[in-house]
Amino acid sequence: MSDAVALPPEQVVEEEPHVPTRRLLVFNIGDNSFACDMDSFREIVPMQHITRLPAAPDTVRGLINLRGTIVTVIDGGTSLGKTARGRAEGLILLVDYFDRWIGIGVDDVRDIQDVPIDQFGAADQAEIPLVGAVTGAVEIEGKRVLVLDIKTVVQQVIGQGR
Amino acid sequence: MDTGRYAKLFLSESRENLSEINNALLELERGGSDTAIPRLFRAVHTMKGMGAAMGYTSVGELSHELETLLDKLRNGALVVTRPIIDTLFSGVDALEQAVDLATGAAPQQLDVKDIMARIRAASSEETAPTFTSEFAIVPVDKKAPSPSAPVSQAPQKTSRHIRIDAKRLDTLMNVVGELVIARDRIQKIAEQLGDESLLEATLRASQILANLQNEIMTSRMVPVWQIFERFPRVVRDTARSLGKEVDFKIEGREIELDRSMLDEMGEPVLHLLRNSLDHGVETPDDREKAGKPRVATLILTAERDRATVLIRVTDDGRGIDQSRVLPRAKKLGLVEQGTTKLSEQELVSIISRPGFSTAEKVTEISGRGVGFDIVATRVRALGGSLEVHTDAGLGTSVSMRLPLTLAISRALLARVDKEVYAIPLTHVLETFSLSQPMLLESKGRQVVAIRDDLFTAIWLRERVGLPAAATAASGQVVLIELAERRAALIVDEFIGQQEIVVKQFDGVNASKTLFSGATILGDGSPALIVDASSLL
Repeated sequence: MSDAVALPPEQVVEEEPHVPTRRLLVFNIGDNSFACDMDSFREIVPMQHITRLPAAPDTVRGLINLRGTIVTVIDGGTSLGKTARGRAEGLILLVDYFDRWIGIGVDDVRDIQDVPIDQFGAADQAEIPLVGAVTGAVEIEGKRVLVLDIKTVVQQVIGQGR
Repeated sequence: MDTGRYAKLFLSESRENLSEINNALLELERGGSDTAIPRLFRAVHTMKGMGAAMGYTSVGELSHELETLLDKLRNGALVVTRPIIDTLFSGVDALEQAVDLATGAAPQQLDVKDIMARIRAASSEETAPTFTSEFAIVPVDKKAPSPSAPVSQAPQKTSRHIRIDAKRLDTLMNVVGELVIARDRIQKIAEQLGDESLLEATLRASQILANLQNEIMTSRMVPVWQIFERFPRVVRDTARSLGKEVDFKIEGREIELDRSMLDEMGEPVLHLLRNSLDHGVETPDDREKAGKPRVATLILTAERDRATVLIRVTDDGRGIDQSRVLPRAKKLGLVEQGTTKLSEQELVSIISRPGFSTAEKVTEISGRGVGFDIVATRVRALGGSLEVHTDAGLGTSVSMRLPLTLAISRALLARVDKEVYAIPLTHVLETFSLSQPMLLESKGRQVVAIRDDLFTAIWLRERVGLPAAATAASGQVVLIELAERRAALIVDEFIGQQEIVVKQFDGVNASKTLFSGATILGDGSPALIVDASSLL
């Protein structure tokens, strides 16, 4: 027979309100920082040979060979309306899109941050040229960072893809 | 993560069960209640258990309600009537939706209150055990009234089979594809070195690799019934909504095709079936007037022909009327004005043009003219071809001829500027070196003279958006052919022939029409595969 007062103390402490956090990956394009939910990313690979995709707009960089799979890489800078440092260097962020991967070329990955959800502020959709891709803004180390829904970014650039 | 994996398994098993349920329902509708009801009961019971185990309440509860109704039919407390069959069909549709919603990207439970109430009402109706006259009319095929007529059997499952995620087989296939490319490189090096024993060892490895490749390809083969299963239900629903009567038959269910190929074929086949029902098959009254049986016959056949598989949709409808196609074709300038009869080849190329249609009204079933071109594009992308045979008044048959596997094919690698493109050998007739005298102008177009013929000149540079070469009359020519049309494709240089592994890629529409896929070259870089049909 157990009785109610024998509850371990930490379960009582649990009652205190605590704010859930979102784990964000923060990346740079030129002087701008953007953040996306860490869950959206599968892998980060260095910039490599990209085969140009004729007839595609500037927002699409081309194709890479990722361990035998062809992955389309979109240009983070052009897509988000910012000037990237250089196209030949940087990183490719790999994102889950439907049941395959899409790459996004960025200059650099700055950080992975757990941000309490009450610190998310509103942001103007018009700050980047992709409709519906901005979900908010946060301040990280004194710098304002736009939070993006990366699937919407990909969707806006390549549509359904296949 | 784990629930996700189970959800996938649940989804694939549900699909099998749902298609079994649909087919059993069709059998019930045809009057085969003795075998259909136990089949239905079993499959619905399985769905109930699976749904409950996954915590998908809508699936579990709905299955339970269906099971109650089926139980009453099974023990004779209720008799099969048209309204009950309709209720069962609606219930199964709802069940399908519930499964999709529960396993979707944002899982949710379908609101099943209304449909459950409907099923419950049907179960509690104390009908007298008499057949309604409406139901007695339904068995349309008078040729096969015997109760022991073969019914489609669910595939036997034995413990000798294991379930593998199709993705794993894809991965395996990819790895073998890489190996094939690596082998080509080793072979080249061995030839350069000219070392006898190295060449011998390479040859041996090559043979083993060919075996491995063959085995994996075989393991990827699946019988066509895996996608054909769902068609009887769709055909029935479509025919009903169009007020047409049709006897739908499937032949060659056991014929096998590469999994990835088969997945791509579902949509085109469905399109052809709908097209037949909408445009080919006449209404029962019209058929009677034309001296045909009221019930039309629609046959879906799969057939193996050497290294290809034929998938054919045949109807005994009104056929494609040349007198309607011809004026449209002339108006669009697709044939010479004096033409009186189109060859079957011409007919195919005309009706498979985007937007070509003779349909007077747009219907929900098969749209307007968009459709046949989609089928043609898909079949070509898969390396296949399309044949149409039609007899005015007697019917139409559309055949899609497909390679057994699309994974590996041979291609010519060509360079323009610093870029390498692959041209599938299936479309390559001959290759030549380009010289100035070959390049002529005819009717305002640049043409290439090869022997006594002139072929339209196509610069690959221009097609892929590169600036023209310094000297136009240099480079090499590939004579390409597709469905009796030919053209001279001009590239800077040939690199050689190679076995390529065809892979799909994501891109924008403009790029996707130019290329049928991508492949990986010996140096590991991706190269695009030129789609011959986009050039011609």
